[in-house]
Amino acid sequence: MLLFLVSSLLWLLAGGALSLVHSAQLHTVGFFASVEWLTFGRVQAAAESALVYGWVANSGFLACWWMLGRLGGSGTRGAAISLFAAFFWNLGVTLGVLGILAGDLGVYPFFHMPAQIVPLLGVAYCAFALAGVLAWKDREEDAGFAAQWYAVAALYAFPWVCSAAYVMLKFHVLPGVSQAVLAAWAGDGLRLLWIAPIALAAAYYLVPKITGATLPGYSYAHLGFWSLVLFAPWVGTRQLAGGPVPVWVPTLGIACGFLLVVHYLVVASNLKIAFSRAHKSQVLRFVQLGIASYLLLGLCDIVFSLRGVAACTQFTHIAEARQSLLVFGVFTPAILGVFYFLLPRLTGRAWASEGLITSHFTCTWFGLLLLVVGYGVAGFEQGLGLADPKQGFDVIAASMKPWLLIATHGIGIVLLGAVFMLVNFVFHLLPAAKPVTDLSTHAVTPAS
Amino acid sequence: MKNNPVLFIGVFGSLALSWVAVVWGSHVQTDKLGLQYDPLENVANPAPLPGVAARGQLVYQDLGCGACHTQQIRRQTYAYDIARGWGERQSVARDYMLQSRPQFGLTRQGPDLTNYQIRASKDGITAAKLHEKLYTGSKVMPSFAFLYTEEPVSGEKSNRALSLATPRGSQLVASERAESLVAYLLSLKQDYALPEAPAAELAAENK
Repeated sequence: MLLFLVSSLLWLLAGGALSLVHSAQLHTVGFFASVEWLTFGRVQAAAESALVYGWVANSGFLACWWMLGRLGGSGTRGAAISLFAAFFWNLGVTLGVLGILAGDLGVYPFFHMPAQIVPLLGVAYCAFALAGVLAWKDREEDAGFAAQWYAVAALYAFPWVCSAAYVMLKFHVLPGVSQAVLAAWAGDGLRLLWIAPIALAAAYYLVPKITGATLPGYSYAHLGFWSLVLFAPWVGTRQLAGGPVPVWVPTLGIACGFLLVVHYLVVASNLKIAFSRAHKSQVLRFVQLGIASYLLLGLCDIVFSLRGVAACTQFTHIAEARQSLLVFGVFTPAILGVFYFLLPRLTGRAWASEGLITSHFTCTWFGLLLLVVGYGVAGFEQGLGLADPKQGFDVIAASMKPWLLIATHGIGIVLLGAVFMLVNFVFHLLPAAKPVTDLSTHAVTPAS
Repeated sequence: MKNNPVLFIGVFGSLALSWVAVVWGSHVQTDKLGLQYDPLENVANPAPLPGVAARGQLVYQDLGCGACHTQQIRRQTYAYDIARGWGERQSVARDYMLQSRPQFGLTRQGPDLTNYQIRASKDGITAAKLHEKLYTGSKVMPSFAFLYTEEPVSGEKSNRALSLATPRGSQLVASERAESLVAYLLSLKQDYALPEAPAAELAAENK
């Protein structure tokens, strides 16, 4: 388990560093321009792949596996299988990111991994999922908690969406616009049915544990879950509004987007107690940030899919702002919460420094704020600039520059926070670390 | 939610159903499109990319050009694309039917390139000038100098040499990749008429 934790943190740092280069290139075009491997388009694809396949996959799997084992009351099984999986998965992602930097990248977001790497990742993922499913099958109580449904759904959805996308984009290639439709369908599939459910599982797991209260309206959690599973696969194509595809395709996506409101309402009403109780828990603060970002992102997804808005915001940095909000706002804080909660229970020792956790949290929310505001405002400047045919691209770039600088600082601060966590983790592993005396400082009702 | 199969079938079924309806449904619809024969010019549109340009499309993809340049025109009543002079009509599915690597693009840090050939010939941008543009970059586009090599001149200058100033006795030579990329960029156009996408002026008249 520690292997997953370390490798995912290293990927967060690697992906963050690549994002930093990418972000700097947005306002300083000459940055690393002389190095072919670090040309703009490749760095963007590599940064995204490192974050999605390195950070999200590793940490998300660790979180799901652990939560399923805990909630099922069976403990975690399949340690040998998951060790095998971790090795080959990380080997595959490393080769894939290098391959992207060498020029073997795709055209569509989320699906840049070189074709040669995909089978390796597929095998490693099957081993991953096996360990997760074992923990779910072994569960002693049959009722199943909301956290379990979301975690299992994420583990199931990822291979279906990814295999459909990679097979039809890289091996048996669909022609023309069908590719764009497929990539839009699969891209939102990963965002809404893999990345978001892992964060939701973490929230549904941690909030009742830390506050010690039952979630309000928990009987509706079914409704929230199934509305996500049933509607989310239909909404991806809303991003194609105005594109060269049959008009019904984006229209269907936009309409189904509104049905997702049911899901967001249930999540909001279930998890609102995370905010109403004044708990001095470090973990809970991370989870709060994740929940707030998730609801904000849901609102943004719906607003920016409206045709009138999309005409202006399509093809701008708004996409970058939303991606940052998903990865660094929804997923990362929720998972960091799980990590901070999990490690003392795994090793039986407290985190080395509370101060570093506080600093990490400050970096996480402040960096996120700068990122989202920076990219968001730059995106609006860009959209308005593009809509005025008289404005040249140098004028638009100049108007965006200060905001993009802010975003670059944001990613730097997020990265600094991750360094704090790594330092804390290294000190934790040193023999001098203090044994855990009182788990409640980390925020718990009885350990499960 | 007591049993595993409900969850498993639920997730799989929902994904499969939406895939069949949206992805496969639209594929069946667009796959039926055929080429449009133009009797005046005696050509069928869209034409496939010529060989060098098809190689250039690979270079375009491997450099990630689509991160900043789109290749799709949205209709005039919807967005600014045609007002910016990027095309005469909106792009439609048929325009891309022969392409196995369409480059729709992600953002617009630079202009749309759907009709770059037409714009370039209007602005007098020849292949040589485009090479120089790629070599030097601009305020908003990074330089792609790594596609060019500085070589000593032995005898005559190479016919691939750029006319940019270089130290005495050396020349900047375009690599094969640069040549294909330029050939690709200078082949981009969607200027033929299609029944489902009349030129913007025509569409306005019909109203």
